[in-house]
Amino acid sequence: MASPLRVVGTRAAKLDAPAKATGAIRYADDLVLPRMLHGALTRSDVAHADVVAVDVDEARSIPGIVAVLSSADVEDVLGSLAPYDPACHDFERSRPFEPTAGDARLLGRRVRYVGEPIAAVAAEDAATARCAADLVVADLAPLPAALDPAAARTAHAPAIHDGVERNLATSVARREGDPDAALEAATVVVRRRFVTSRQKQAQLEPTCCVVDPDPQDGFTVYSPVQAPHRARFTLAHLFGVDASRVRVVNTAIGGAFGKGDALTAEPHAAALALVTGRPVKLRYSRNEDFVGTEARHPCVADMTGGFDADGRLVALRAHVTMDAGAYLSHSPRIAAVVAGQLMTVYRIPNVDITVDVVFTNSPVNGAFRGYGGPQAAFSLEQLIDLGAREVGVNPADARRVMLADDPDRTTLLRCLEAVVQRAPRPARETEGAPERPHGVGIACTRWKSGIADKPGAVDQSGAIVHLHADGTVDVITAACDLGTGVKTALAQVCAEVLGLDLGSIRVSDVDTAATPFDSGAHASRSLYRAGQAVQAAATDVRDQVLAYAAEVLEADPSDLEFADGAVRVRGAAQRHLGLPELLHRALFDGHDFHGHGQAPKSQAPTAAAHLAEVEVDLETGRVDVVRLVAVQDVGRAINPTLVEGQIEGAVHQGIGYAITEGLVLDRDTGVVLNGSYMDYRLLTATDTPLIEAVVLEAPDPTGPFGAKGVGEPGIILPAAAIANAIRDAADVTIDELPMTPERVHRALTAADRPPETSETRDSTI
Amino acid sequence: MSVEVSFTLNGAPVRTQVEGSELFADCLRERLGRTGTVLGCREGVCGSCNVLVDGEVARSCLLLAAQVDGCEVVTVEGLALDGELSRLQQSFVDEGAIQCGFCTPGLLISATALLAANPEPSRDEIVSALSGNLCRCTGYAKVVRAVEAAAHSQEV
Repeated sequence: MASPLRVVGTRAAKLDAPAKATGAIRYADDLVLPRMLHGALTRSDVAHADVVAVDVDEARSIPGIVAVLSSADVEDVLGSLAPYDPACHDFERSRPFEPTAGDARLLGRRVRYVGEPIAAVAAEDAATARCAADLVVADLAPLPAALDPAAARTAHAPAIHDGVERNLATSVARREGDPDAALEAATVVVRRRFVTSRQKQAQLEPTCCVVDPDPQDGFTVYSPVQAPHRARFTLAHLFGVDASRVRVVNTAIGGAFGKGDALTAEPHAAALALVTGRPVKLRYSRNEDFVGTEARHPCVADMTGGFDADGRLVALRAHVTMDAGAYLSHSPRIAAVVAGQLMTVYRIPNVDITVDVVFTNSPVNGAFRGYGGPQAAFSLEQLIDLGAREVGVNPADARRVMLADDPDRTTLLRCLEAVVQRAPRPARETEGAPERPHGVGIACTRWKSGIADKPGAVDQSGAIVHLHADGTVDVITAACDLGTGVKTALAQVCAEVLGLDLGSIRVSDVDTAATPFDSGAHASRSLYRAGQAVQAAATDVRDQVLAYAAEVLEADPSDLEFADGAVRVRGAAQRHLGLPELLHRALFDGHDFHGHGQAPKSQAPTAAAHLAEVEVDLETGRVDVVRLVAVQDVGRAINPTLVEGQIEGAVHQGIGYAITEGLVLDRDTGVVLNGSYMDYRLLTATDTPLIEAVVLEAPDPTGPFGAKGVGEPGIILPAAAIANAIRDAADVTIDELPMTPERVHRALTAADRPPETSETRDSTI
Repeated sequence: MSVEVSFTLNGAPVRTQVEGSELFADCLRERLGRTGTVLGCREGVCGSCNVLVDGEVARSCLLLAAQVDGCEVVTVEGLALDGELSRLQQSFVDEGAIQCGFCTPGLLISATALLAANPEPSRDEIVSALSGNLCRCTGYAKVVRAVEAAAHSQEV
């Protein structure tokens, strides 16, 4: 590598931080347009029903009500509406937009979960809209409901979607080797069922968007969606308009974590805007956000692992049932990730994995940071520890043995060793009081940067870099900044390539009318993919400027370099031109420098390992996470502060997933019982343990300055590491999330609990 | 039912008519255009809507606009002086304590009140003072560090 980096690798302050610190930043709810109306939704209070009729007379009569749309009349008013994929993958189907069982409908005639919208109203103010929405009376003919996957799979279960037999939405199967024979020959076989929960993103900004109709045709959507270009395609198709007539603009995103990777309020806001001809703001209450936006799939994983005498997992049989909720959305892809994670973190030679996705009459589950990774890790990492315990090998050794023989795993092995090095020493000293024993647990995972290697999936980022005559730059990209700071990192990449200060760079807002296609902020791809595009675009600009400078300086472009705001001849520093002078001259010569870059087809694998130190109160079952060490390979930290922020934030969410979080649905009605911040338990500052983020850099040649994806590994492992630590502390396996005091206590006191201890209890790590 | 309220907002006098049932948060955001104060839950749990009323932290989503009559109110827009960020605001920026930023105004208000009452808080005191603010992005680590860094400089 040539000269040391000036901007990449520095802890530059986030470009939007001052605006956020002063309240100047604008979220969707801060947007006010002329003649704007406010929307509100009437939602179903039963889990499964046909909409027979909708009485809107009383709602309509309220002064200030401008429009009411319902399941009964929406197509009369707006014309025929296509079924749509909330995840906006529908244009990627083998036949684009081919209707698929499990697609959603805008105010459809059948409701499939408690909370599904039945009517939408627009009024002059929010309070009036809410009042009117509450006065809409739906005549629903209830249908039998299947509220959980077991019920949905029975022979007599109601068909939630036509043509989907026994509600099996899709299934992913992976077979390799001969699992039957391998299990037969295994030294030890461990069987266990693991159950995970519906975790909610619970981002602080409640779902909100504004849709502004175009007087000619089409509309503009102002929303914190994570994939504006995809949202554009799906919305255009839904309303039967050309994509060029739909514009999606990001407002500042107040947290996302996958919630914004699906359409939420946009379709209903757009419908109201089209009907009224006026801008409409549709804002969800916090309860609506809990119920009406997608959550993490709860999974039941029946795992059977065969281990050899070294603790190596030689055979894995896994049957995983995922609860999709009422519509398909992201489910097929997440199922594939669950299967993939179970198979590929370790080289398991014999596998028989089935992941079934089941429709139920419950809120839709979809994208949440980790995307199946946490569910797979909770099961697999505990299975490995159980096997290790049975054969008498320590958990770290069992993993070392599995990771050692494949050279591709070296980064994962490095992460594992780094985490093991940070285990408390000596182990005995951390035992704690006898009634509050301490324990240590580890877990590790591989992950990827984006999905460019996934067949049938779009993973694209383009960027334009525009160098202005005054030496300042616009980076034009549709990379969404969810709060991650990716825009700042992209500015750092651009500044590095062009030899400019960060202060000269501005990164655009995301606007589908102006920014090149980007497939979205998910799959830990933004910095990696948009970074590749920005690096390429900036390099293109640099080459154009050098070619022009070569003419002016009468030199060969290969002898020129960008440095200190000037272009100079290498080795002859007196032959240079200041950039402002050069650019000004260029304008008169007919040059306006804009470069274009596209991310190439590439993948950059990453890895992470966690170590959790817990204290278990044997009397109450309460688990205190004392410390969580997260080692993660990020390739290169373009900005160490941002990278640490991603790891710390993800780990924090992962700890919540482990011990306190989970939506609770009423068994009989399907109503979400804890759809508020009061009852859905997020960890506060007081609850949050010490999180040690350890950044490992193994640069990837395909990444911008070697950088790889960062956002997700941190949330994948904490529950697994904590569960393994609980076993170490208290000799119990907690196989269900969240690992609340009640659950732990029940496990501790269960008279018939399976034996957890092996004869000789080795040191933990 | 309409009521007139007079109060000081970030050092300047305000006099306006408000509805009897109008929340102070909505008054600030919609009537007075101060959208820096944001609403995360409208039920007093998340702390995003925190403001200072007569120096004390208050949930503006649990206050009626009519209740601030005669009070001195400070919102996030009032923390910077003459365009210069307060020591706390600058510290949040420098320490990477701001990700999506939605919880930031509420956190800044809580931290401002803390440092005004207790200029040299311990880490535990900082954590306790922030325990009423939910943040989903940062895991709180850099937020606590930012408050510590601001506390150990001379001014707030």
